[in-house]
Amino acid sequence: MLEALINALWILLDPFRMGMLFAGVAIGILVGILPGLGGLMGMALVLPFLFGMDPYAGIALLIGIAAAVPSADTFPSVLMGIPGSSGSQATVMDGYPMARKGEAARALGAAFAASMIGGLLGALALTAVVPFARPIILAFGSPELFMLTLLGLSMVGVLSGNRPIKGILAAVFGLVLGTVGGAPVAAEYRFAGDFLYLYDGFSLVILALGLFALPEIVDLLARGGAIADKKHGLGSGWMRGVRDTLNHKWLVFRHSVIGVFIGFIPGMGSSIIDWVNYGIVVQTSKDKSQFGKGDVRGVIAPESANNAKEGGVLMPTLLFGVPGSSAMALFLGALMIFGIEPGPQLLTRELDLVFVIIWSLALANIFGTLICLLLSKPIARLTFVPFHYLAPFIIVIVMLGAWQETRHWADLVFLLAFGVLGWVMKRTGMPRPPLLIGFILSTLAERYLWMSYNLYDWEWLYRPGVLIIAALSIVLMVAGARIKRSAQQSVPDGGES
Amino acid sequence: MKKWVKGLCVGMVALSLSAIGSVQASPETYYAGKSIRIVIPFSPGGGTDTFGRLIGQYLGKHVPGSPTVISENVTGAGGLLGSNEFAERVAHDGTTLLTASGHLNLRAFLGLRGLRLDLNALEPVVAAPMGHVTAIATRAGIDKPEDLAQAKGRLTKGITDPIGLLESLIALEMFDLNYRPVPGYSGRGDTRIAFERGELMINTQSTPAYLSRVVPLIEEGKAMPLFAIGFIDADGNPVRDPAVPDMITAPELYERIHGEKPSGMVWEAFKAVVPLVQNTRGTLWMHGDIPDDAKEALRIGVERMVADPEFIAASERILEGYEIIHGDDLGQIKDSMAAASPEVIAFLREMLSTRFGTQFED
Repeated sequence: MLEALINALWILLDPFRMGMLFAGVAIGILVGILPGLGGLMGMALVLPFLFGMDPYAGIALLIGIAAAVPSADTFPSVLMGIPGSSGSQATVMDGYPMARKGEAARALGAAFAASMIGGLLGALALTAVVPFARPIILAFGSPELFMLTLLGLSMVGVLSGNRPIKGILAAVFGLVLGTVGGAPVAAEYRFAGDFLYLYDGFSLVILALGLFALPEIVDLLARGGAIADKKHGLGSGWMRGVRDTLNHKWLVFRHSVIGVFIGFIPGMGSSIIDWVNYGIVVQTSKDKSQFGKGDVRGVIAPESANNAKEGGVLMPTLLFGVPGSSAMALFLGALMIFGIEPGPQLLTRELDLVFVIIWSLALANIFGTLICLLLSKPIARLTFVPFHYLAPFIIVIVMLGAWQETRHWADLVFLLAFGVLGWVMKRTGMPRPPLLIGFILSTLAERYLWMSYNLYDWEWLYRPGVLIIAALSIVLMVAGARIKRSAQQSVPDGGES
Repeated sequence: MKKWVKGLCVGMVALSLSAIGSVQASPETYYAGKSIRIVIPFSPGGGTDTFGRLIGQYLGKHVPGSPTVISENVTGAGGLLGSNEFAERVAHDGTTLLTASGHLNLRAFLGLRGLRLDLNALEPVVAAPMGHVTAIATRAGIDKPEDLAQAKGRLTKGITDPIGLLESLIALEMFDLNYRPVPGYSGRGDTRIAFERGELMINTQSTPAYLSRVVPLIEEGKAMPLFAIGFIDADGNPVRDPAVPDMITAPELYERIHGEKPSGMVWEAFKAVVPLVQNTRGTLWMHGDIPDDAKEALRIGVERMVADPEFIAASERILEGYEIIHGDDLGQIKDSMAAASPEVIAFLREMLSTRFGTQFED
């Protein structure tokens, strides 16, 4: 194994392959920075060039893209409150308030450091877990996956801050929106009529851009001035952010592991990963008062997880040929072009190739982060530019991001509709993240519940995995509520003394 | 984004060229200065997409006049949006082609609700076949395929989109097996993991996927192959799957169990579904009423392409053990559709709508 590890590094150090890795990182950073575009788009762009390319170079190119996107998508999330791709929605929660306070550079520094460490841990996890991956993946059947969706839904409480009722309402509305389109376990289309566009349901990208991007743009324009107040300055720069991350070693480690783990389970989809991690960090922190207002921990947790997840989603892709995310579906297609058959036999017959993938992932994370760090200072200055100069550009980019989903006129109509919805929610103090979580989990929850029932009748309720995850959700909820109550009690106590 | 900027440029160039040079056409000059757009109604990365892109990569070089070929994924509604665009909103001049999967062809053939693609108005340009193999878990307690009727336990079979699995469902129908359908799986890969995990008892995979990923399970003693779906020749007789020539096919297994060849409505349905799905795993379609010069140019292009050693090398890995269907052999695709009686189509629609709730155009 060690020999293959070193051998793979030599394979990758070939100048052309390294060049391709850099090209991948560059493309990944570009599509990551542009809101709405993600790894899927980046990979689709290079797919035509893969025919006839050296397989190792092609893999380095694709992994470069996959690894750089979750680093670079932090820019719009932090600087403009617009999710850079579906993997960095939760970063908006605290990253953007930090930018408004003039701590953009610090938030970016923390995010990039967390991204790099998370990405490296993801690559390391991929190496370490390779021998055990199969039994772990196989342990998650439909009933366990259903319980995981419930665990995800239990995050709604903490993401609603001190407005739990409004949060639950928003989540329910998200669940309803998720039912539009093809039903997961029946050949029927709901609320779609003869409008074929709705057969696929609403697009997550368009919903996220509408909910978060448009209301922010409207309010910033109405307020006038720049995103951040000039008198705050850029804060004490990105080194402080890097130190923040290093001071929260345990947090980075924990959330990287959670990110790898959720990425690892095929069928959960990677867009929920950052929200779950954000939920957990809020739930398990003693002092919650600053979350949502610019707590650096709210940036570190999702950012460590969303880079680490790439190591996780590669696992089912390589071992079972089942994509762990939509970008990985494309990666599978590329493997097919190279004539590589995914499956457990990769680990015995083509270990070199597996390690080339792991090395690419590790190196791309390092390069990607360093480039993002270099870019962060000039780009962070954008927050001081009067917003009415930036707005037209950002609106165009957001519309392009939405339009590339299916290139149907309805993409833009729904972007606008969700934008209005998001603005109304923002104005009425209705939290938006629960809506997104409800939407993501709606189809999954319905699918896995029916599948569990069809497979096992009600016997699935007694499966050990189901009971363990149920206990975990309850512990997390009770502990969250307790910590919250004790925090609320300690505040007036402190005030009186 | 880049992609359609590029598309726009190419389109503008093509437009200006076609405006200047509307000289007299012949197969040799028809495509000169034109571009061909291949609509792929699936997202990038799947098997059919890869086939479409492979053709897109090499066809342009070989069609007389060397047109620029652009493959474009027009996704949405399970292939309906892209297919309908091709059916209704493009010029019938041979500059737009469609890459369909065998199951998309089947959907069009059966008249799925919302799909407005009429295969009778199209002609195949080139196609590639793909077989399928059905396996059963050893937990079912049988040790040879002939004992299928004695299989024990919940005979769960994962369902994705029922039309997308029709060849395997109709085979189980032929054996009159009382299986338990579990809908909700998002693809055949998903059902394979569930099969490996022990959730599903019966599973059908494409033959290449069977060879690489189910065979290891058989070696571990967790599964047993039941039958290959097999192919149907031009005379309607079952033949073996060239990728697994030693494996018994479903019609042969039926004969072994019942002592007679399969017959009746289910068998007629099998003979209609199997060639359509398996001969056209990837099909490149053109509109039937495009100019003859365009048809001839495409035919020449395909013949030259399949003889190109570079194409042969690149296609080997993507075709996974099967041969490209081109030239006169393409006739069998439409022949098998024409051979299916209206009663067979009605039977299949009835079975899909009562059992799975699939909705069809009236």
